[in-house]
Amino acid sequence: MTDIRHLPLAPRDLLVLVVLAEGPNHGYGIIKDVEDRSHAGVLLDPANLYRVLRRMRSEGWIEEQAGASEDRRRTYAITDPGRRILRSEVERLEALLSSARPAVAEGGGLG
Amino acid sequence: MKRTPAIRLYSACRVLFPHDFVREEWEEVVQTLEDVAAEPPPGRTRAGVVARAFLAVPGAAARTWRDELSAGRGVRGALNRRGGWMDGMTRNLRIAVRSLKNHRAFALSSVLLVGLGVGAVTTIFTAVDHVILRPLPYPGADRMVYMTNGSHSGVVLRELPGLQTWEDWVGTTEANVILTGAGEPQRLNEAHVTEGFFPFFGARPALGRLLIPSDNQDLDVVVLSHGAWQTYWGGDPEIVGKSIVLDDEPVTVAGVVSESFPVPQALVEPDVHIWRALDWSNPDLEKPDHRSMSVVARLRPEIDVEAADQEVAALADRMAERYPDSYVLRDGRNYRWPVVPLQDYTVRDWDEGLYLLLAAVGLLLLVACANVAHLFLARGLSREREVAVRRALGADSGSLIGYLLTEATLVGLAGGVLGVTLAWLGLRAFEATFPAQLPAAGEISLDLRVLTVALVISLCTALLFGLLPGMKTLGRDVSAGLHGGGRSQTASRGMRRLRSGLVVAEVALSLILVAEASLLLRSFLVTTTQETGVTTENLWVVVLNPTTPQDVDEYKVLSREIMESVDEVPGVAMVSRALTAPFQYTGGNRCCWGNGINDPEDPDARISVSLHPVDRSYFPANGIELLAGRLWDEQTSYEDPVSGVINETMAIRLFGSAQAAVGREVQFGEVTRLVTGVASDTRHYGLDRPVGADIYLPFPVLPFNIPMLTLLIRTDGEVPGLAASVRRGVWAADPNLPVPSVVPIRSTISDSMGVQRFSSLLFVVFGGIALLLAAGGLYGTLLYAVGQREKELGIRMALGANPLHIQRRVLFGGLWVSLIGTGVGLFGAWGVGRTLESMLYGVTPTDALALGGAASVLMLTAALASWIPARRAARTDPLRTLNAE
Repeated sequence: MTDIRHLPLAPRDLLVLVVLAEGPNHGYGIIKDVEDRSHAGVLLDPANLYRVLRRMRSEGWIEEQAGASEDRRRTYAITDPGRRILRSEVERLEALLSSARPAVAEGGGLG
Repeated sequence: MKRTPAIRLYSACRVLFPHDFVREEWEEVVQTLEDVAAEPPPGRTRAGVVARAFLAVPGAAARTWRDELSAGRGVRGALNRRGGWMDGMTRNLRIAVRSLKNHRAFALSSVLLVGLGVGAVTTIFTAVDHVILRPLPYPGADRMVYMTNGSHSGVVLRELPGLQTWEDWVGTTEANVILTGAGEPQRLNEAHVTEGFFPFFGARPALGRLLIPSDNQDLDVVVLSHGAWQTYWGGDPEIVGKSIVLDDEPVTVAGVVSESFPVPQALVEPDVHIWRALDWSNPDLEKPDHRSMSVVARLRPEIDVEAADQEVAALADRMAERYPDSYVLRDGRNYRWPVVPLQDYTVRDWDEGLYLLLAAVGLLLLVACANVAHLFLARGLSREREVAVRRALGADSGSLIGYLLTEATLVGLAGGVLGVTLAWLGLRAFEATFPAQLPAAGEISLDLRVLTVALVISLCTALLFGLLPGMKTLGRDVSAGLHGGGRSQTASRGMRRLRSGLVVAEVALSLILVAEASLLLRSFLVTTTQETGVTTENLWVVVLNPTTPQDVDEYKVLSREIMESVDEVPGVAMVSRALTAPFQYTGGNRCCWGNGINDPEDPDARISVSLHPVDRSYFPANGIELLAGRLWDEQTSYEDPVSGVINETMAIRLFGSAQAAVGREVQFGEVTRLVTGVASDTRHYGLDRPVGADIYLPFPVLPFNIPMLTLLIRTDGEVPGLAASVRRGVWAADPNLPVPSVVPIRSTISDSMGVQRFSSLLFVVFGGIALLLAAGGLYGTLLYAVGQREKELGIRMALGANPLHIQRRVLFGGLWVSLIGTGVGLFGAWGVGRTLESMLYGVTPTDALALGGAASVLMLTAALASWIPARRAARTDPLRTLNAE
């Protein structure tokens, strides 16, 4: 499937998709949610956020919701292809994690 | 909603992003940043959020470009057909060019201001760079040192090879020779150099060869300077191997030095004509008291000047032990010859003055900058309505700033080009004013480095003083601007304060320049209006320097013959011989016969006396009065004690008064002089020097042979063809003696003031320009303020306000701001004046007349600059302004 070529997702992309999978949101909301989750400042700058949103939109992973919000902010929602990509990425990560855990356990790191 | 400056600036970053992205996303991006900044996520601050956003811009822009290009939208989509990034640039450029064209006065004056400031700074900076900053163009120049404290004897020179800290050294001495056999006899400057002089300085020949060590034994060859070769031998390509006659002796020309060889000015005069190997067999070089050699050394690598200095001090101690009579000072201390870096020594007379000039042009640039800021402010305010329209049509701060940026950049570039052109012209003028004296490292010319500096200064000036004030006018209310009339057109309080601040700064800076100018001017006037002590009308100076006499008797005979021969010339009333004419040696130089005598008031102190061997006719010829006693008697004067005439200063110093001095004796070491008379003072060694002690002695008592002779000639009124007939007179006595020129003593005096005249003229020009600029700034500001308040004034007038009252208010407003500026400036001038101290004569740096004069000139100018706008305000026509609505 064509989805494969997009994997792995960049952390920024992954976080945006995760936030949108929980419900439509606007730029400001996405930044707040991502910040709540990661506290890493990954998405604090708006120029990069909109660059990512723009690319995802052109890939068809998300779409703009017309009139979904009362204020003038644009609101974005995840599409079915978007969900598929997200699911593939999460599965890939889970597989990766399950293969990584024993190594960490033997090393006594996370036991 | 009004955005903060930070957000506005962020918005302006749009220019970095692809067009489609900007069009479709940018407003959201900025909106989002504003939202996040207004309500930062927990644990983050507003400033942190904004800073992060700014820092991420370059990366985000680069990735967006990559995305857009790879997404198949192609380059054209990214750059776009209309209004895209590149297009935005060209559109801005187009608008800026058009608007500058439409506002020609603004464009011209701002370009002129930037150009003027940058031109002045670039000129002086180039000069400073070449004269002071650049290393001298010699191999290992950074390790070269000069041995100070006068000239050195041959016995010291012979010890120099033993110095461990020195890698290599050279010594030189100078002499005059007379060239004969090539047209009229010419006096040439000759330098005698030790072995290895030319390789030491990396000189190359233009023709033939330079001096080699064996020449110091054979002594039968000379090397010509490039200039002398051109001037006296017409650049003869066959000159090498030819024989020329110097001081009646034939020598062979071995070669010609390359034109590009910069003569080491610490060692020899820049106009050396002949280079000759030093004759070590000269018995004078065995005498510890015969000090004629200048010495430059190159230190070994890793040796510092201090170490070298210590070793030379040790050498001085050894010499003092060996020759206590010559190398122990009167107070028992040993002689010292501190070594100093050659570079410092070479520029010693120049660095202070040049840095001062650089500071002055820096001030000028600042005044120009303040005016540029004025212009852009006024322009921004007058454009308010245009900006409001653009804003209403959807333009945001970013694009408006981009537009301002383009305009300022254009002005900066044009100003830079103008400035560099002016600098090029300025440097030509600078070089023409100081042809030979400047110890420049090569030809003074603009180079890439300076050009870059000039361009950067221009751009910074335009951006800093154009963009910032311009931006200040952007944040104004849209609706107010659109409504056109109303009070919104009155400049806001902040704006008024900014402009007043600029005027204060301008007035203050200008005052500093004007005060410096008036200090120098006053010093110059004080100096030039000083009594010279001689009657300058119809007094002529002829400098002859015969080098052929073998001893002092021959010299006296020749000089007597010359004097008698010139005395016969029609129109010549009186002639006197002298070693030097008044004002011939100025600027701290003394020539040629001096002696110390004991100070009657202080047994430890010595009074240095200049001895002038002259004829009796010297006094009437120069117009020097005899204040007491009489001249020496022609018949009896040469017996011991020899009679002499002292000047008034010396008489008062030694005996209390002119009358008291007559008949007294003065002891010069072993020699006693009888004072027969006292003469009025002359400023023999320069108008800017205090009068020293002078004694005039009968010419025949001159005890030594010297290649110097000056004739002082008083004529009966104007004598046509004087120079030619005096020449013929001299040649009747000695056909081989060069007679360079017959000059009126007035020009000798005027030449002696050349440097002072140059510096005061330069500062007067700078001060004048600064004054004009400050006046322009004040005038523009007031005129603008009046224009802005036209409606208010109109209403007031309609309501019966007194026009005179209004006029006075505007006038006093301008004067008040200038007064503050003057106060600040006086304080600055008081501080800056101290740096001038060494250049001032007869005036203190805090001279009330000079500073007060400068302040008055400035206030007068300010009054004039305020009066015109004030009058205009008073003439406001109430009907016209009210109808304009």
